[in-house]
Amino acid sequence: MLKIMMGWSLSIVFLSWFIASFLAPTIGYQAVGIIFLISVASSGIVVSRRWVFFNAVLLSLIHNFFFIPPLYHFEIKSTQDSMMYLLYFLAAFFIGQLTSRLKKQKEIIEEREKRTLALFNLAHAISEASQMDEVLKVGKESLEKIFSAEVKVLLPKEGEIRKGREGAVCELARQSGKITGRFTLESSDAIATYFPLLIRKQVLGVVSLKLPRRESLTTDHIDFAQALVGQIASGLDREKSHEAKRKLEVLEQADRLFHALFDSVSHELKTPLTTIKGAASVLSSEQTLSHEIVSDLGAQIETQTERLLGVVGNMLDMTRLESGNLKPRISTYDIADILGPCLAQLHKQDSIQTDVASDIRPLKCDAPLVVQALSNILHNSLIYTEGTAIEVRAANCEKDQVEIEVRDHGPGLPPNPELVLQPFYRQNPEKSGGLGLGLSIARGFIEAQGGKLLAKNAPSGGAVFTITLPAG
Amino acid sequence: MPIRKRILMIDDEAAIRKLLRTAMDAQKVEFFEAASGKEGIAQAIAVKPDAILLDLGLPDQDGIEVLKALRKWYERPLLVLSVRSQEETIINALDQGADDYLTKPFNLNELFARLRVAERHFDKQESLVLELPSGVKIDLTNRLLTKNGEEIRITVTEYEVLKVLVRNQGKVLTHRQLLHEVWGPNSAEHVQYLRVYVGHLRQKLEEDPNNPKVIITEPGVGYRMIIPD
Repeated sequence: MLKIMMGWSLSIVFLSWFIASFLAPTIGYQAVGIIFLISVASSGIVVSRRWVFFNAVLLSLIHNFFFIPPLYHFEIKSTQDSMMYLLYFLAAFFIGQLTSRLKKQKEIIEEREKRTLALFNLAHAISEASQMDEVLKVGKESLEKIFSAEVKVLLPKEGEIRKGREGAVCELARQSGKITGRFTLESSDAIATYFPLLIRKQVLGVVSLKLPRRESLTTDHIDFAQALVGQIASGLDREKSHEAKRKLEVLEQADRLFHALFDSVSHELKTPLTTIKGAASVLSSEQTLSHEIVSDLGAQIETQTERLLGVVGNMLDMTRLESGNLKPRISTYDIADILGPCLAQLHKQDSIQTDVASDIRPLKCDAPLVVQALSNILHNSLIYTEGTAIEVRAANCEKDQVEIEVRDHGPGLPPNPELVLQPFYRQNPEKSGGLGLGLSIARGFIEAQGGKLLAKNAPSGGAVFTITLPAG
Repeated sequence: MPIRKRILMIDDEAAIRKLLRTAMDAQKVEFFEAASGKEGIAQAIAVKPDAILLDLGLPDQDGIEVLKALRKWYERPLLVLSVRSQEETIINALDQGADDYLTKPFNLNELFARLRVAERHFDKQESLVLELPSGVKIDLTNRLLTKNGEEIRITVTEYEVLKVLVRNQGKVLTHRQLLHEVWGPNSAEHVQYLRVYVGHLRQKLEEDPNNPKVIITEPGVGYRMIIPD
């Protein structure tokens, strides 16, 4: 730096001397003073104040020695010349200082502009960051870049407590909300400087800034760093409240779902129980009842009990699935081991036709789960397609799998058929009764064993459910 | 006056005991009840019932432990009661000596039917000649299988499996029990053979082998041969 400054100064001096020598015969030795004045003034643009002073002195000596009579002497004969000499020197000196200061001001403004831009960029980057981690990352990288320093962001939970003196200084920043450490008034013997992340008087954490050994932070720099840290803090604050909002939304959703489920379960349990209670109270009354009536009431109790068992069973199955504790016990079974129990469970077997491929392979599955799943599907179809035929087809399919397909000729599924496999979906709430869980349980049970359940609309109308399981 | 049949029920639920009492009284069966395992064992010793109904979900003791304790000396029919989706427990109970099982909530008719089956088995009164809906006639006395009068070919092992099923008609058999009877002890790994042989038998005996009504599967538990009415 020194050498550069010196180089420039001397270049300016010798250049002006050269120009002056050249012009002196034409303009006279007093005017030379103006040339040197201009030179000193302009040197303020290039070099620092010290060197301006150096130039002023050097040039005035040159002026004196080489231009003012008597030549080649430092003596000045005429008083007029002495006054002129002094005045020129003073003028040069002051103007030089002024230009130097102007240059300095310009530098300061440029520095400020740079900082404002850096601040703006950081604020922008932080506002774009969508998660707390990203905010911290962006903030940290920006600080590192701007100050060429080692930056660490310390949030209370991370537990990265630095031990010893540094830890104590850091902790002080966190607790007092003041900037501590090197270059500050508080614990200035620390290695790094600690900036608390402040939002509304609450300290979220601490940002530590460790500069390379030679560098230092002025008060100006500290203010700037504090502004940057402030940006990071508000970014964090914003993300925190977003997260809180997100959590609240999830809770509200869960709450809504709970209420919907509760109402549904309430209804589904009370409806059959009302009939059962009614029938039972008639049966237990004093009055003499005909055999027909007794039979009828008994049958009603049985039907409604079956319905209740269905609802309870579904709820239990759903709980098993949701608990994540469902452990399928896989073994090899013939299709007969699945179809037999399944069809035996359903009452309206006559509307169900089976078509099993003669070369069908055994299935690798958990039989009770598959039976329940297939049962749920058939039960669903039976409800929606009163009377019309339901076909159950079983055959081998690609990739070492076996397919069981249930096809009905009822009203079919909604345009987005997969919807029916969602929990609580009911196509026709008045008709179906139940909680709308049957099909979603079926899918849960099948998928838990590594199988697949797909729902589609048949081109000719009606629904098609396809279970795919590995072949044994 | 003929001596009434005695049945002991060990179940902690008062409501279900009351229900069974009503049903048993209607059948002119002497009904005894116990609400815990300890009480049950004491009652069994005191009363010496003709059959025992044991709930596996007892409060004081593991139902299986009560079963084991009873089976140390009690040889008569013993049915266990369980709840939904307890296949492993049921298999365990059957292997430990229970004759059959029922899942709550159960049909009373089914309970009585299974009790009858267990008693018949105990008295060795199973029919050795069965006529099935498919037109097949099983005649164990003559070691013969016919369909509509014509003899059906059957391998030795297939016959052995069929024999065990017929001898235990109406009762559930776990895979292990079947394997043990046909292939002897230490044959648990041969479960796949069993499946194949049952498949062959179904082909020969059932009207629709893919929807069996004679040799039915109890998913996760085992097989049961249904007695034709």
